[in-house]
Amino acid sequence: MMRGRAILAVLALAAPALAWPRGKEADQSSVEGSTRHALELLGDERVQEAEAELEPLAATAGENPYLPLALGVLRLHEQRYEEAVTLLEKFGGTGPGRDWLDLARSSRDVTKGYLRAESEHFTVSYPKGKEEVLVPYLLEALEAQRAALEKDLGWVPPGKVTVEILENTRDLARLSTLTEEEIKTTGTIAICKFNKMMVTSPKALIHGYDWLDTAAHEYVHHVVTARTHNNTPIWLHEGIARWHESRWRGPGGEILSPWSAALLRDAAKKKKLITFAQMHPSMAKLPSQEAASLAFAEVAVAVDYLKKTAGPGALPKVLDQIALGRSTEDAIAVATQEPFGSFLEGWKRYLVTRPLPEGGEQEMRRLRFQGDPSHGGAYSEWAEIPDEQARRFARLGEIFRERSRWEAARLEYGKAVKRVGARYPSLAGRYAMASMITGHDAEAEKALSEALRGHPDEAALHVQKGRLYLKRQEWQRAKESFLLANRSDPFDPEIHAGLAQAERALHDETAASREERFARILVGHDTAPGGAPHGSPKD
Amino acid sequence: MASPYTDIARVLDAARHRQGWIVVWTALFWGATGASVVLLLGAAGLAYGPTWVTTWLRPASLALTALVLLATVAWAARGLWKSAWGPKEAARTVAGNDPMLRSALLSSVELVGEREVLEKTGSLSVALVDEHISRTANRSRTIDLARAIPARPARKGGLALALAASAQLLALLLLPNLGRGYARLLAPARAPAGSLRQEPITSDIELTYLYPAYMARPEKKVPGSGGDVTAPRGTEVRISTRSDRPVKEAQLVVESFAAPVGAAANLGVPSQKEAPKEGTGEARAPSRRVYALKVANERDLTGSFVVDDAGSYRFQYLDHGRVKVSGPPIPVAVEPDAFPEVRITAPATEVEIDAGSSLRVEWSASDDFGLSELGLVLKPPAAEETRRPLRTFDSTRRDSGSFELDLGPLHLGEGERLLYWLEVKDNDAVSGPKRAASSTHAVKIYSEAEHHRLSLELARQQWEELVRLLADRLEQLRRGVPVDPERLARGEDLDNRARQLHERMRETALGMKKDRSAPKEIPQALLNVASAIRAEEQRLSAARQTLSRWLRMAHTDESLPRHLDELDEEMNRELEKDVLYLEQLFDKRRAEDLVRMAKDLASRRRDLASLLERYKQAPTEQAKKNLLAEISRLKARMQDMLRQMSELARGVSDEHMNAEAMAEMAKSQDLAGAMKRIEDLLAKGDVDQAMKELDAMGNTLQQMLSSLERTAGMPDERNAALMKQMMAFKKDLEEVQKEQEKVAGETEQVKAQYRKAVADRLRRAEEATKKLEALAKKAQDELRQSHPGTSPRSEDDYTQAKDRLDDLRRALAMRDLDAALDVSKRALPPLQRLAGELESDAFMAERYANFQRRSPPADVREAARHAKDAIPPARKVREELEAMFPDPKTVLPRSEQQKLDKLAKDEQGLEQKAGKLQQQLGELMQAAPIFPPQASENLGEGRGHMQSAAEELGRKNPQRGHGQQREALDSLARLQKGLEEMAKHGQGGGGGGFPFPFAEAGTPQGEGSEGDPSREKVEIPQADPTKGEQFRRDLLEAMKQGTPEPYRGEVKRYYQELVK
Repeated sequence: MMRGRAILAVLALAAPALAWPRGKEADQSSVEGSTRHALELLGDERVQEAEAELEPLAATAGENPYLPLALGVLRLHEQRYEEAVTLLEKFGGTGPGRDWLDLARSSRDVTKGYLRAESEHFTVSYPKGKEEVLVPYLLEALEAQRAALEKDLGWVPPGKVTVEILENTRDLARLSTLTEEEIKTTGTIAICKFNKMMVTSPKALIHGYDWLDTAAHEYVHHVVTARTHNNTPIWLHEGIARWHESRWRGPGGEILSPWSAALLRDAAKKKKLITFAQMHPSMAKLPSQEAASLAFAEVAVAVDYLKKTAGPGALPKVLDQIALGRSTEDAIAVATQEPFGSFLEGWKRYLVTRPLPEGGEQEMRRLRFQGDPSHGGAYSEWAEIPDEQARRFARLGEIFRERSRWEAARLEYGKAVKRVGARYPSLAGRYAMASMITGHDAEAEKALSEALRGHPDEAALHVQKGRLYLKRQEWQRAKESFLLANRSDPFDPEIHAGLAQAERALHDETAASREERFARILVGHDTAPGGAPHGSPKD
Repeated sequence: MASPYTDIARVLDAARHRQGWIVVWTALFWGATGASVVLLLGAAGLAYGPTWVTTWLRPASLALTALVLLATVAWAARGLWKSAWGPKEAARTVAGNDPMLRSALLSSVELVGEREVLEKTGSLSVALVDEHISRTANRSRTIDLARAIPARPARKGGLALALAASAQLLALLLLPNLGRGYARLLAPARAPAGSLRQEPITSDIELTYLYPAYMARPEKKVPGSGGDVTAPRGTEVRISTRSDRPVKEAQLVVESFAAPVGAAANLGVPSQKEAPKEGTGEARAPSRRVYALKVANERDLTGSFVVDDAGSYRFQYLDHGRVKVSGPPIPVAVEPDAFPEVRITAPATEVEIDAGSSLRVEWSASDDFGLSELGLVLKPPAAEETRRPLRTFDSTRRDSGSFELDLGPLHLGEGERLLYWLEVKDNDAVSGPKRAASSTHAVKIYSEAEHHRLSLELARQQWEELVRLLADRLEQLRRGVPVDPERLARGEDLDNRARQLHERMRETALGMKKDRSAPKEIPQALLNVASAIRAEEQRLSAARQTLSRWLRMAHTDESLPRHLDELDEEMNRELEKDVLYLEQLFDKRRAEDLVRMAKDLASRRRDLASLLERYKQAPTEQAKKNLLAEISRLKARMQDMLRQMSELARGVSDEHMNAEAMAEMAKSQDLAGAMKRIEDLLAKGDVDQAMKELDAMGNTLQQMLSSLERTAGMPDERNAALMKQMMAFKKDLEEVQKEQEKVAGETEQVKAQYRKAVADRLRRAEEATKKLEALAKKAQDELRQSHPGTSPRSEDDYTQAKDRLDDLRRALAMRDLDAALDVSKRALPPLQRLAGELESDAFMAERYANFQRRSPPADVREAARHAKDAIPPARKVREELEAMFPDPKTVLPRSEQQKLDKLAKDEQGLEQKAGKLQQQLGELMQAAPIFPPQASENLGEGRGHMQSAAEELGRKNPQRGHGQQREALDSLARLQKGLEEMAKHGQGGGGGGFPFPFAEAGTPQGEGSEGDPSREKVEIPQADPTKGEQFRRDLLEAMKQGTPEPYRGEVKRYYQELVK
């Protein structure tokens, strides 16, 4: 599944500082100067510094017509939307002020009625309802990511970071400056901007997505932005974020899925790589999901290459240099002790020679958004199987499955698997299910393992495996499988029910009760209470 | 002395009382019991018995009860008299069965009565008497009266009475009419109130009826009647009569009965069925009207009244205003004015027509007095009734006619039903016009989608069975499992199911073909599938039967189970292919129907928008009503469509698809919800918002339509790919045919060279040919002489040998040595078999005297000898003929031989191409079962002949090589013909489920083809000019006459083998 993220680099909202009346010099009036400076700081996401600049002036807001604008923008960055709207309405006007006001209103409206849950360094703001099941996992992953980044980069910004969970991409578009079309075209699903992270709920996608890695990825953006005062170019930003997104759960560097590796190698061979310049101002502005995937793969490999050639300390060094105001090219040259051109040449060679992961030749599966008529449709789940005869067998299996003729279904799925192997998750999943039901557990496990080698993030396969382990009473393995599934599709009640069963067998009654409750919430037998299970809930 | 007797007297007195009461109670209980039983039976009889019983049952029951009671009283009296009447009776009763006591008591009683006499007379010792009395008194003191006079009879009686009472109670509970029976039994039927019969006080009543004007009936006079009046309501009745006495003053009193209101005025009745019936309406109070009569000549009375309700009238004579004499009531009956009637005589109760067309409605109406108005009532779906006047009548009693019902303005959608009926009123001006309605008819708008759906449903049922059969086969006949009788039985069962399915599919398909509205491709597809299944099933059944036989014979060959496994696999592959093929067709059809439906919806939405616009311009209540009705209809239609869409979208649902996202998707398509919102907005009067909502709905609909069109188009894309493959196959086939023609033509040239080279040798062989003829004749003669000894077993071989020897002689006579060589080779095997069989028969006949034979053993032996003797000359002929044809290598020049080598290579190349074609065909047949099952066989045969041709040409034999080439061409031609015929029945008929590029333009469609190979004439390969005309003609003639004689034996053998 393609996943896209973007640093919002649209300057429209930063324009107030640029649109400042040039007739007045900053030093002519200390208030005006501070206001303008604060807006510039906010444009660089330096919120705490802007706050320091503006808070002393807040009492004199009536004396300078631009102060409400700056204060309003500050409040927006502090997620104090109601106040932001009031201040920006007071500023009124057209142009940038209008845009900020619209954004503040949208933020206020979208997050109205949201609940909050906190951990030591993070606050999750989420809509009332089923999203509650995301909260404990999200907080846990982000705390782990913070600790890992602090270790890798040597520094993370102090204070709490807010994560807003949005119900759909429409809300994401309203709270960012991207259009819904751009979001769907590039598969953008989360954004780090305005001193917060905005993450779309996995329920907006038919198969969910790797939402925990995505949140961790956005946090890397947050750290890099703060570290370099928003001076890191987009390619490096994305490369670092990509490389570190799985750091919360391991050593990091899980940068290429089989298909993106194949995509990258193909593009490198054909010299059809996306240039770093084309990635500017945002990955979300690329023309397609394929282009965005390719771009992400390129920059992730660039960071991987940097780490491999210059060692793990190179990256903090590069960031430090950028923070000092040096160009990225120079910063890399300093860190690698070779000219940037040589770095690029080496990177391009590395793109081609880097070994492909297993199953790299597979086709990319597009993200499928709800309500999009170009996605989905009858039998579309078999479209990924190129072999027509295998598709036919799979369809026959499906016909039997719909009629609960499991043995016949297993045989037909089996014929399809025999032709194309178990590398297609939908096919492997169905085959495994039919095999399990008819008592052929070994066949099921073999198919699932094979499929998961090529699709390690496929939630449905993990669920199947979880079922299998539950059946065998291998509780720890069952729990691991369900947790892996939860990383992509946390709204499947079976995942939480399975987790509850495994946790109970492992004598963790607290976790078992929580998962049971989550399962009940997801099947609609329990209403999500106002509070979050993790941290102290407050509105 | 009185003292001892006092004790006796007291005992006896007590005994009398006790006995008296016991008798009385016993009688009372038993009497009551008896009476109760009799009454119960009587009451039951009266309640449930037939009428003839009830007439005598009551008196009989009562009499019997009385009898029972009387008998009881008599019995009680007798009992009292005999047992308690006086001291003696009491003494007897007390003593019971004790004779001593009885004697003592009786004697004491008697002696006390006679003591004074005894004392006076001294005839008996008084002291002795006293002593006796004293002893008896002592004895009597010990008497226990309860034991001496038991109360058992009374208790028994009481028990009987209690039982009888219980029975009564139970009967009353269980028999609901018993109470009525009792009532009839105990309460005497009251005699009808004895009204004093009043004598008539008038005579010669003359009535004149003046009917209401609307009836247009002439005045009617009834002289000399009894006065009974029968007339329609509103009729004026004039009366003249003569009094039986002088009268000064007289009057008519008209009394009407209580009459139901509804009977009087039947206005506003919606239909005849709903009209209130006589007596069921609310009762109207009886009325009494008085009319003065004119009196002339003291006796002639005249007057009149108007008939209003049924009742009576009577004459009354008055004196100074007071009624002096009152005559008897004379009945007044109201002649009913019946309801009018109207019927729709055509069309039938429910018809189906195209939207926008009109319907011709024929009607007839009648009334007993006259019709006034005819109207049409329409009831569109989800809308209110509307009435349209059709015509008015001029008091016509009977009429009929027709009118055109134009459905266009009603904007009915496909599948919607319009209800309509006619209403008619009569011209009743008195009670008001009565209204009646015809039965309700319906017109349904033809919906192709619905018809398709029904057809699809029929086909889908067969498809489901196909799926079940495949699943059962997969599950029950696992490959590689050892064959045992149980598995064979399962297999046979599944084969039977396949056979039955084939039959049902055929029937369904043929039925659908008759339905003009059924989609054409579906029945054709069903026939294709049925045919394919049948072919596989026949092979399977035969193999299974053979294996079953072998198993019974304990045969251990393993090749047959393997073969059966392969056949089972082939059947499974066929079923798999068929399941997908049909499913794809169904999906395509359904998707196309959905597109139609969505288009219809979109068009309705536009209509709704314009209605809304009009309403906005002129908001009237009626416009709003129409609007809401339209919305309601649209809503129903949308729900129907969404239901079908969800059916179509099966297979998409993946249990691990994000359920939340699916729910959101469903919500976004909630068109029905949008309709509800529009309805609500309209109810609130927010037209602008409703229009906005409608616009939004238009967008959603458009998206849906696009999506559906895409879905519907998907099978076409697949078909296009298939079509491309088929076109390639067709082209390749034609190329192979063309090349084969070319190679065969070149071979023929070489063959001509060869024939030319051997012609001289053959001419020189004239002498030898005569010798051969003689040899053939000898063999023929010998064979003929063997005929009397042939048995049924050897008859076939005899016939074959005879026919072939005949052919041999004929070919030799025509000097067609080529043909003669061929026939001579074929004549030898049956000859040899015949000789062997006759030899065996002769041996058996000689060895076993009782061996049943038609012929004597000697004859059989003789026949065997003749058959044996026929072989050498026949063999000699073959050898001689073979010697006559030289080796082509020795005859043909080197250049021709090289040419043959090249032709052999070409032929080999062609065989390889044909092999590829066969592979292509196999793949296409996997994609869709649209090829005749024999297509692959034909191609295989063609390949075989090509291979043989290549071999023969490699051996430098142009004769045989060419023959094989012609055979190959024949196979290809049969394949091509079969494909074309298939196409004619499929696509040519306007239906084929898949494109089929083999159809010839404009070829007519035939009937009954199911993909069998062509039965049409196939062009015979070019005739060999070296063969005699006569010989070829004979062959053709033989072909026309069914199985050629020489092959009858083979055919018979074949069928015998099959039967075995």
